[in-house]
Amino acid sequence: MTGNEVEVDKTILEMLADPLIHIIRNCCDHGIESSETRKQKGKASSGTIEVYAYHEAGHIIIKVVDDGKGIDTEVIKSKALERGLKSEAELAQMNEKDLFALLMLPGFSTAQQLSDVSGRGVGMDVVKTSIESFNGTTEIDSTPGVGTSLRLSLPLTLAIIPCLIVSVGDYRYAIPQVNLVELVRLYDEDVYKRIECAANQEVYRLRNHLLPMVRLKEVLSHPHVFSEKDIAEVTERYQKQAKESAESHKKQSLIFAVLKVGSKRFGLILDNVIGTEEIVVKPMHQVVKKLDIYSGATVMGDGKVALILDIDGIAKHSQIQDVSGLEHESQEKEKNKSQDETQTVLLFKSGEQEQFAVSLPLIRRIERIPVSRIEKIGNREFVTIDGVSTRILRIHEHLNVSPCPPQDIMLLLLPKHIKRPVGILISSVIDVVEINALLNDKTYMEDGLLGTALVKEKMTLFMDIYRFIEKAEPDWFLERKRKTPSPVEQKSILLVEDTVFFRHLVKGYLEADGYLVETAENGKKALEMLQFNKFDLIVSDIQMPVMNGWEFMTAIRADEEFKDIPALALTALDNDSDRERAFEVGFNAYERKIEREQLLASIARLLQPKILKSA
Amino acid sequence: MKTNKTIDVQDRRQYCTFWLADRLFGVDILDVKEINPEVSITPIFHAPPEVEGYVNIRGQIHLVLNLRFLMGFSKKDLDKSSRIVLLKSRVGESFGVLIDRISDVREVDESKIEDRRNTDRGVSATNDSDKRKHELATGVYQLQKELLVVLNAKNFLGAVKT
Repeated sequence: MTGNEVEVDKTILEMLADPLIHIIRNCCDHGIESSETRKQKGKASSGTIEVYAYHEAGHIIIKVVDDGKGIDTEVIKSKALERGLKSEAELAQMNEKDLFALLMLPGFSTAQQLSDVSGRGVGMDVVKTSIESFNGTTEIDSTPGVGTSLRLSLPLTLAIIPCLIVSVGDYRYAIPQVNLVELVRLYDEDVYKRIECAANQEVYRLRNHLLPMVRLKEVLSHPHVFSEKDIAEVTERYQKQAKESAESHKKQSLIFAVLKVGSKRFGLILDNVIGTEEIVVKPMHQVVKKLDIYSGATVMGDGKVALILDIDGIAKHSQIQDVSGLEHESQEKEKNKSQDETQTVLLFKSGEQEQFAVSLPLIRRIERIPVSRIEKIGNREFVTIDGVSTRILRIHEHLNVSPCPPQDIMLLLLPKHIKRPVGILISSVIDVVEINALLNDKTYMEDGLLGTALVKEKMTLFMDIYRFIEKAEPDWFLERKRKTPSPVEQKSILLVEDTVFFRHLVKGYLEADGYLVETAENGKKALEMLQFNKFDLIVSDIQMPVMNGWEFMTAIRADEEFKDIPALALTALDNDSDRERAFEVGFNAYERKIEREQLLASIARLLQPKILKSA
Repeated sequence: MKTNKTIDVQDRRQYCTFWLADRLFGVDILDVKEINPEVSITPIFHAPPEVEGYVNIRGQIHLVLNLRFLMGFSKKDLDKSSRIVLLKSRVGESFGVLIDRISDVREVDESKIEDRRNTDRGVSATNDSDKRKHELATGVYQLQKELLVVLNAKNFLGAVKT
């Protein structure tokens, strides 16, 4: 035996015990021949079983080799046929390795006599399944008359998941990132005013969704599943506390995490949020495995153990009431509102004077950057985030606005859908708001803005992130630009889109690329415009009132004059059924509204002169 | 009372002894992996009261049981003399017990351990875990100065109410 010193995670080690015992017993039972047979064959009278363990390329390899009689492939073939596991044809196709692998199929034992040593019912198939449950592999090799070897390979890396580390009381807990939607912090009166009570359950209205609220402190101190009485008692206690604090005007803050598991969503009130970390998941001990609120434990950087919360377990334990009944009401309100085109925007500041807004779905993340970490190369600034050098753009360097005041910590907006790592430096985030403002591009306009609107009683500049980045680094978009036809033959596009926001956004992209753009808010208006103007291409949304994209396209293609005009379907979502339908009704391409580069590349492609096929 | 200090080889056993509520207890030294002064224990809320919590020892997470509670004594705050006795894996997976104060390794004559299991002062076991608790103390042994209560470590985990 070699490899005594090889280290492996305890959970893997424990799993290996039974399979290894079985394998070695197999060697004894089916592999090593009796001493007479061995002497006749000229082998040493006692057999040898060698066990090796070693690390190799991120895996731990365990080999068990015996010098027994080996495996006869003919015996395997006949057993396989006998048990109907494989057909003659299939067997003919298999090479030696494949045949040996058949041994690991369930119910396959080739020993004439199953001793009670190895015939416990643990078959090789169970060994294979155990190893595979750890993402490992098993391989059998053999030479008849000489011996057999079995090779187990297990990956060394364990379950590592990104988590949010939080604390309640003196102890820390980990919430898996996969369950985390967002974090909300309430200050002063909001702590009391905004946590309302619905049917004995504390709730919070988060942008028109009603979230049941759960207090982690209470979950931990109630070992039994919450009864209605428990929920009511907790709610009453905190509501009373809230009232008292409101009356005494106490300065406070409360932080909660919006969590999701399956279709359930709720807010978990915590004492503190510490940070995000990638942690190694260790399974719960046998004795405490049943506790549904934990999914494992981990060792933190300081050596202390922290428990990993099982969000589904917490939801079940707190008996989250389905507040969707109440939600339905607010959803109706929301549906009516959608006619007014509400958008979720992030309000922020860079310089002292201006208030900016940017569409929240376009932001991937906001990072906190200590100014000391910013590196300057030439006149460009960079900062390293998650090991990637990210280009920093300062708003006042590309737009006519006031500069950022000096601050130790700045915030960096990281946008989605941009291939290159880039971020926009801002000084502070004001809020996230739902607005249904119409953008004004007459009062104040600049290349890089979509327009202005009044938000929270202040004139707010709406940034066109992509145009802004393009303005700062035109080279990045050069490739796509080359495909676009030159301005000499300026093409005109008819943009059909009902949402003001997207109309502005897409019109912005198209005009920046040199196209002449006319817009229509629905299919009907678009048809009218087509009668009076000539267009080279149509870009159309699908969901529109009065006449939607499908109807519009069908009408266009039915008309002799427009049956060949290139048309591109625009959508906020992306699903296959819509895509197919788009092509069916006559669209030539299908793109997402937010994918600027794709959209422009598609248009450029559609407008290229077609190679005339000879008749 | 032992008059003869020499013990037959086959009866010789060594016990790891320790104090719990001013009484001396012991477990077979062959069941003990190590004795650790680490006391930074993370409690596991919702776990039964016998479970003190989790502790990290050289990267491995171990479950710590409160042996005082298991033996029927009230819990006590940790102090400088508190220790965790880690048991070997054949006794139970990754766990240890919290004790008040460690004492010496004592040599014991197996044949002279008085079996206490059937002479339990009439205390009737009303449920499984109580029964298991009674099975923890398997006998008493008279040392020179004090009485040693012999515990069977293999029954510790089973005594926890699940």
